[in-house]
Amino acid sequence: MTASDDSSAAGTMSSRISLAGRHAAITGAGRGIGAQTARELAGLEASVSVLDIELDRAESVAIELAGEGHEAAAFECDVADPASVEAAFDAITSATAAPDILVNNAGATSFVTFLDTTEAEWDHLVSVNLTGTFLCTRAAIGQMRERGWGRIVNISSIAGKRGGGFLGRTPYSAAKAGVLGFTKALAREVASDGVTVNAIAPGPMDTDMTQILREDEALLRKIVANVPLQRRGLPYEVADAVCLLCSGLGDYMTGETLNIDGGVAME
Amino acid sequence: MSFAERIELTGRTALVTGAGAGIGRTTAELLAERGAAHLVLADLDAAALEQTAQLLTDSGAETTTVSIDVSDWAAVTELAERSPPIDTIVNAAGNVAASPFEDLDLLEWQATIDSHLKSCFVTGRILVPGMVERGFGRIVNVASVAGKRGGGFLGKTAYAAAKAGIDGLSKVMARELAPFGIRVNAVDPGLTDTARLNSLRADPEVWSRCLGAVPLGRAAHPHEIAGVIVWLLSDASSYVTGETVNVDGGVAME
Repeated sequence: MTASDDSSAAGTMSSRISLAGRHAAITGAGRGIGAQTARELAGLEASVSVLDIELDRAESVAIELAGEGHEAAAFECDVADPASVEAAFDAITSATAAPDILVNNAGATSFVTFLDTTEAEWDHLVSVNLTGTFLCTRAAIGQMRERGWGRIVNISSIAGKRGGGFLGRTPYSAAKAGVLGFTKALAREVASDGVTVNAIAPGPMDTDMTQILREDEALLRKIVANVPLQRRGLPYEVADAVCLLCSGLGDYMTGETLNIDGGVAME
Repeated sequence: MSFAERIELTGRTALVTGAGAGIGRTTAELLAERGAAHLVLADLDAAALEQTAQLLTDSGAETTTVSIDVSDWAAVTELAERSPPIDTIVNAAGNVAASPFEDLDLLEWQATIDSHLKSCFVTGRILVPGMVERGFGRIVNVASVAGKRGGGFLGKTAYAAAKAGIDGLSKVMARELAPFGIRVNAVDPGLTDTARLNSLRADPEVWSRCLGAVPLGRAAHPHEIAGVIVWLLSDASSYVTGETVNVDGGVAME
């Protein structure tokens, strides 16, 4: 390796942004952040597998993308169910190829307080948000390591860092913090195989998952008052961070968590 | 609008400090490539600065070079008066400070704090009022993983203190300036492959120990830092402020 002070980087950034020839699988991609991520990765010329627990939602995103000339296919996948995950990734591999990029986006939240949280609700939220990330990653990472290239992006939440505060309560915060620990430990394990693993911690977002805020203006005002940028984030703003991490621009990042939160975390 | 369109910097007027080498130089090149209209390049080393300007001659960006100390209030004030309105700042200037604590004298301490940290204050303090007036500004300060982890590669106490200071300064500026359409972020590079690493690379044992501490097992090319700086300056990071982004091959893991 030689010093690079004299080497010109001009004219190279556009080629590093392209994902042509890559294949991305995105979970929870039937709507919200996941759907927008599928659109944007396709926009960088990746072929995309759109996974969602509701097949019709996944299909409508895949049809939209195919209509714009992108390579896209839909798959039903309940990330909390090991058999469903295995079946989905087998189907993806037979239909296209094993993914080079995996975005673990599928998630669920609830607004019940600790003393009202049942064991069933705890198990459900930890399964979808944390175990689902483990199961999908396990299904996809073997081929990435074999090829010597892979990008995994896990969607966590600012709730996992700050103990909720906006919408997620104890099970959601615990599961999303778990995603951050998983991300770092895996990043360490697979760094030498050309696979990077990073997380994104969105702040308060304007998506279907936070639909409750569309009816509760007082709560919305209270939430936004705590955001330095004074508004909620939009799905494309998280999807842009996924693009950064999956493109060549993010090649030297692993084990990192990007806060896409309007300045809430400041850490 | 796509990611590729949002990461353009069309029409920007940017000040890049420390533009004579390394991360500063490569960032200047990427800013020009992304469509910046005017680059004001600062570095103490006039000859190195001229080489950076040479690299940009065919880029389409108008280039001004100024060989000043960017922690010098009067010099930066004069620069601001002579320049078109600056909407974008990349603070990449800073000396190399490698003295271990027992050998660190006040002179080196002060020079290190001034060149890395005070320069971010001075450029911001002088240029931000114009940004507030125009309702738009983007600032990225180059800190270091050394500030988060207490050195480890090149930087010792003074360097780590200055770089940690940059992270703190960036966050407070982000909080205060968010209502005015100004976003302030920092990048925290790890081992980056610039001429500064020559002293480490010269000793195979030291170099191998450095690389051993990086999960990705290699140093960053400057463009890998500069690409993230461009992202933070662009509309592709529109919901990001007060963030200190580790671009370090997995060293920090925080």
